[in-house]
Amino acid sequence: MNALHEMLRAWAASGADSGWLPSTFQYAFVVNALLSGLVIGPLLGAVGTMVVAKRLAFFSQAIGHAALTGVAVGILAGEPYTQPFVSLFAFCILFALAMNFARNHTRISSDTIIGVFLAISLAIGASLLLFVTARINVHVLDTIMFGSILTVNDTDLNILWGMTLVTLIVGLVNFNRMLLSTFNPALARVRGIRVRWQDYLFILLITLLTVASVKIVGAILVEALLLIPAAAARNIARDLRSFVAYSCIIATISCLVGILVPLQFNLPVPSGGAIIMVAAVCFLVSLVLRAAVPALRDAA
Amino acid sequence: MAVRTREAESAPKEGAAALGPALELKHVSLDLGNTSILHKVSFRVEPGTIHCLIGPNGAGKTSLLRTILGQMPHEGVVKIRWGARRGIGYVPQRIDVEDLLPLTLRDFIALSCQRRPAFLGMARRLRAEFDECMQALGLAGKVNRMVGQLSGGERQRLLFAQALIPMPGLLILDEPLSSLDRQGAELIQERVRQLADTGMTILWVHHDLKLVREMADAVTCVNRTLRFSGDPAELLSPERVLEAYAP
Amino acid sequence: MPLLDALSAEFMQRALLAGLLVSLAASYFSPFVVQRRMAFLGSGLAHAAFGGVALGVFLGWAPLYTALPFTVAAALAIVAVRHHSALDIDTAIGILFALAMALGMIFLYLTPFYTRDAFTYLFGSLLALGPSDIWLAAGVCALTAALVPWWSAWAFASFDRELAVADRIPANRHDYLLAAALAALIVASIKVVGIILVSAFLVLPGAAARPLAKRFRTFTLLSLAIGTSTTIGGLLLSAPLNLPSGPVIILCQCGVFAAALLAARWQD
Repeated sequence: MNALHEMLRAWAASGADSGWLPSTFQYAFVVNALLSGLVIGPLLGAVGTMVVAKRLAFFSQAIGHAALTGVAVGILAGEPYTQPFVSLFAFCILFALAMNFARNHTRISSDTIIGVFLAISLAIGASLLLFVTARINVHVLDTIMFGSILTVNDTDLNILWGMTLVTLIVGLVNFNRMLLSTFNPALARVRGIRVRWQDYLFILLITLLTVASVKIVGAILVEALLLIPAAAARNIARDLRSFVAYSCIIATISCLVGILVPLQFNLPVPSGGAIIMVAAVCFLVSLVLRAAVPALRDAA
Repeated sequence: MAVRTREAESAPKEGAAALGPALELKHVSLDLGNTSILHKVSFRVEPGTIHCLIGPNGAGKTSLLRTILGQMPHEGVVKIRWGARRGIGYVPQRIDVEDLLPLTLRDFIALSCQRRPAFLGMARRLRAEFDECMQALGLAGKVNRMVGQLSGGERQRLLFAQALIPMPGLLILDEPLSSLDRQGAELIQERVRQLADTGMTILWVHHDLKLVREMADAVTCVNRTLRFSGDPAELLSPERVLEAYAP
Repeated sequence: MPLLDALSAEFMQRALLAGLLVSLAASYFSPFVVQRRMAFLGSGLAHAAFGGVALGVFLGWAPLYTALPFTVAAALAIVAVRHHSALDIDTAIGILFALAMALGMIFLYLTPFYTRDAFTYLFGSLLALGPSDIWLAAGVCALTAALVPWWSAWAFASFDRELAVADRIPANRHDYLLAAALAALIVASIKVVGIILVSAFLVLPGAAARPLAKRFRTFTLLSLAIGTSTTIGGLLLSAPLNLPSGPVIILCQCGVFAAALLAARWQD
C-alpha cells in the first residue's frame, strides 16, 4: 500500500505544480491527510448508519471517551503515546464488553449504566493522565481528543486500510442480522440469528474503529463522524441504499473540506474542529431540505 | 366469510404426508425469577390445523410461544414433528423501528429474508415472491414507503408478509389483528384459511373469542396452567371462559 | 495533625463550602437524572460547558460566567427539540455537543492558554476557588432550594409522565426548568470536580442510591447523603495528598456505587 500512497503523493505534487490542483497538494502531509479522510469518511459514515439505527449514540460516545483512559494506561505501561495501540485496544475492548454485559444483565437503565461506566472510566483516566502528563506535556490530551490528522503517516494509513477490510467483511455479512436483531430480537432468533452475538460483534467493531481512528482524528471526532453524517443522511434519505450512501458522502465531504479549506486559505482553525463544523453545516442543510422539500417527508 | 365445517377437518387428509408439523407440549413449566409463568402445560397441535391460543393478558401466552420457538429455558418437553415442509414463520406483535429511519417495506423484507445486505437492494430471487406477497396483502402501492410511516395495521400486514417468505411449515402469529381495521383483518383471516387449506399448521394467539369460534379447528386456553384444550364449539361457552380467565 | 491544619486554611474552607453547596444541588437532581434517563444529557451539557469556558477564555471574560448562559441555552434547545420535533433526543444531544466541542477546540486554538488554567477547568482545583465561584455555587444551591416545592410533581412526572400530564402537572414547563437547573449546576461544579468529571457528579449519587431505595423520598435523601458525604470526604482526602479534587471525589462515589450494588444484591 505504501507504493500506492507514494504514487498518489507524487501525482498530487505534480498536479499542484502544473496548477490544476490547489497549491497545498504539493505537501506530502496534506495528501496523507486527505487520503486518510477518503478512507475514514466512508468507513465511519457507513458504520454510523448502524449506530444511529441502533440508537447507540451515548454508547459509542462512552467508548470514544474510554480511549482517553486507554491512552493513559498505555503511557503508564510504557508505550509511546503516539503508538499506544496494545493497551488502548485492550482497555477499550474490556471496557466495551463490560459495559454491554452490564446493560444486558442488570435492571438499571441502559442510560444510567453507560453514565456510570463513563464516570468510572473518566475518573480513572483523569487520575492516570494527571500522573502521566507530569512526565510529558498536557498536549497529549489534545491529541487524544482531537487527533492529529496532519501528522498521518503510511503506517496509520495501512491500519486504516486494514480496518476498512475488516469492516467490509463483517459489515456485509452481518448488516441484515444486526438490524433485524434491533427491530425484534425474538423474530431475529426465529430467523436463525444469534442476537447476543450480533450485539457484541457490533460493539467490538465500533471499538476497533475507534481505536484505529483515535490517533488520526481523535476520540471526539470519531464520535462526531459516527453520528452527524448518519443523522444528516437520515433526514434526506428515502431508503436504506440512499441512507448509507449519503452518510458516506457527507462524512467524506466533511473530512476533505475540513482538511483542505483551513490549509488552503490559511485559516486559524484546526482541522478536527473544521471537520465537525462542516458536518454540522451538512446536518443543518439536511434539516432545511427536509423542511422545505415535502417529498422527503411524505410517504411515497 | 365462510365458516369452516368441522366434519371436513376431522377427516384425515388422504395420501400425502401432512405439510405442516404436529406439536406436542408435555408438562411445560416456566419460571422467571420467583414467578411461575407457566405450570405443567400440556396439549397437542394437529398438523394442518388452525390452533388458537387464548387467555387473559399476562397469562403467559407470549412466553408459551417463545418457549415453543425454543427461546426460553423451560422444564418439560416441546416436540415438533415436522411434516413435508420445515421452517417456522413468526409474526410478532410489533417491531421497534423508529419513525425517521429510512427503511422501506422493500428494505424490511430484504433485511429479514435475504443474505445480501439490504442496502445493496433486494435479491433478484426474492423479487417475484415479494411482489406477489405485497399484492396479496394490499400493500403493493406502498412498497417504497418507510416502515416508520406505516399505520399500525399496515405494519402488522408487513409482519405477516415477512413470515411467509419463505413459506413455512408452521406459522405462529402473536395477536396479528390487534391494530387492523375490519378490511385488513378479513384479508389476513382469508389468507390464513388458504394457508391452512394447503396443510400448513397455524398456531395463533388471539383474544377475539368470536373469531376463534369461527376460524379455529382447536383452541387451547392457558392461564398459567392449562384451562382447556380441544374443540372450540364445545369449549367456548361463556361460563367456561369466565372460569378459565379467572386468576 | 495535617487534617486540622488543612481545615484551618482559608482556601480549604472555601473549597469545603463550595463543595457542600454544589454537592447538595447535584445530589438533589441526581435521582431525577437517573429516573428520567438524562445521563446522556448531563454528559452533553458538560461538553457544552467546555465550549462555553473556551469561549470565555478566548474573549477574556470570566469563563464560568460565560459558560453559564451558553450551557443553559444549549439545555433549553435540547428540550425544545425533544418537545417539538421528531428528531430523537440522543441524536440531538450528540450533535449539539460535538458542535460545542468543536467550537471549544477552535477557541482554544486561537488563545494562548495557560496550562495551570486548563488543569483547573478540566480536573477541578481546590486552590483556584475564588469568591465569585462561591457566589455561583450559592446561587445554584438557592435555585435548587427554590425548586424543592415541586419535588413531588417532578417525581410523579418522572415515573408516569402521561398520568402526571393528565393530572394537570405542567410537565413540559418543568422539563425546561430541570434542564436549565442542570446546566447551571454543571457550570457551578466545574471548579470543584472539573469538566471531565462533572457529568459523573450528576449521575453517581443517584445511581448509588437507586439499588437501595424503594420509594422516591428515600431515593432523594440517600442520594443527598451519598453525594455530599463523598464530596466533603473527597475534598478532605485530596488536600493532604495534593491531588486534584475531581478524580478523588468521583472515585469515592464510584466506590459507594459498587458497595451499594453489592449491598442490594445481598439484601435480595
